[in-house]
Amino acid sequence: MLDIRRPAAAGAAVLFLLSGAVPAFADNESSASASGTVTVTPGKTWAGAVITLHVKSACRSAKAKASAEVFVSPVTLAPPVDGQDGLVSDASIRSDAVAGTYSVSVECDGNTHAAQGTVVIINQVAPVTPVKPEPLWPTAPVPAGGGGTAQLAAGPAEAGPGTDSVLAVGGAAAASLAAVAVYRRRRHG
Amino acid sequence: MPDEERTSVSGRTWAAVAMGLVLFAAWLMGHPGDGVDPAGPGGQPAAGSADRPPQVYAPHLPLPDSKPVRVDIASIGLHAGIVERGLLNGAVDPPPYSTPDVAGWFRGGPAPGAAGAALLVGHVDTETRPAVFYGLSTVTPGAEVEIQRADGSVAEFTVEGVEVVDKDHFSADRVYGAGTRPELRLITCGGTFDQEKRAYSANVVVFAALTGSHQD
Repeated sequence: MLDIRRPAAAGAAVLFLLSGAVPAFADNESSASASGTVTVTPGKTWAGAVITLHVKSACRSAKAKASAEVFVSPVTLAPPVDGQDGLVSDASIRSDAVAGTYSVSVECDGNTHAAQGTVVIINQVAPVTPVKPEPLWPTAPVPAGGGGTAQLAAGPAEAGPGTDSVLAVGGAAAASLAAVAVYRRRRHG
Repeated sequence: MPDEERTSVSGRTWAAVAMGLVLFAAWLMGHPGDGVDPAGPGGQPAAGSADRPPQVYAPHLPLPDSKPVRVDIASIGLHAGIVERGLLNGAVDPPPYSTPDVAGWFRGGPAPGAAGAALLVGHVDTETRPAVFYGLSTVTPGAEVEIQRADGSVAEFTVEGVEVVDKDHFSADRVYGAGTRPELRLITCGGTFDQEKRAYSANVVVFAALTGSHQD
């Protein structure tokens, strides 16, 4: 009996090794090793911030405890109110947390490392998403032309900005008005 | 009817052309090489509002609020309907190119005749032809601008200044800023047309003040 079972176990181990499950298996010093992950959102945060922890399937019981060096205190995870899978909780980062990467471990079903994850404290200034208020009064120039009559203004304006551009506009306007007038006169005369 | 109008316009057009040339010559002599930023004709300080053209007319009593429906500038033969417009990218959004012959009133601001500066914008041209405010740069100080309003009243404005404001050195305060005096700004494009950007280099701004009103 034993002779039959042992090769089977060895075969399973080989399969595990081949299938890339090496790290989890190799680190498996005891049943206390993490078998699941805790998702930390956002993964990068700063001192004093509040993050959300989510353990998907590592715990059978409906309660778990998550702790990390940078948490104000350990938090209790419970099933989300929206009825989704897993256990969730918010956690507060200590206001004196120093920048760095910290491990978050989840304890449930009597396993102190049922799930693990990391939270990165970057301690940069909180990214303030600029909420642009709808402006009440215009601030920008008006885009009010398609350029259909622009070739008339091209000549003198190339001389330079300032007075010349004013001249160009005036000149163009005058020239085109004259052209229009001549055209009309011909049409009606 | 349209033919009659056109015939009368061509006469006026010649007058406007001649007038425009004379005024530009005068303007040039009065402003020896000081560019687009006149501090005021003849160096005269602009009283009250340092960054705006000098106020020629004393404040007129504001008219009650009423939406504008039509703009008429007889001196340049400009007669156009007005539609309400909002802001787009920080600028008053002119009416679409599909309706190039109407002007847009900034509905977020005062009505023409009410206290403050009412803003009217219009295209100078489309990709193929002149549009509603094509002749705006030929308007001269002293010209009458009439705005017919929804309540049947006509707000009478008189032009105080015409400026070409470069878009690269755009002063929003100069173009849009105002106190409580009832004013009207008519804005279109001018300067040179950048074929790559498909945009003109400047805005032409006509500054006018309320000087009277009558019932239509």
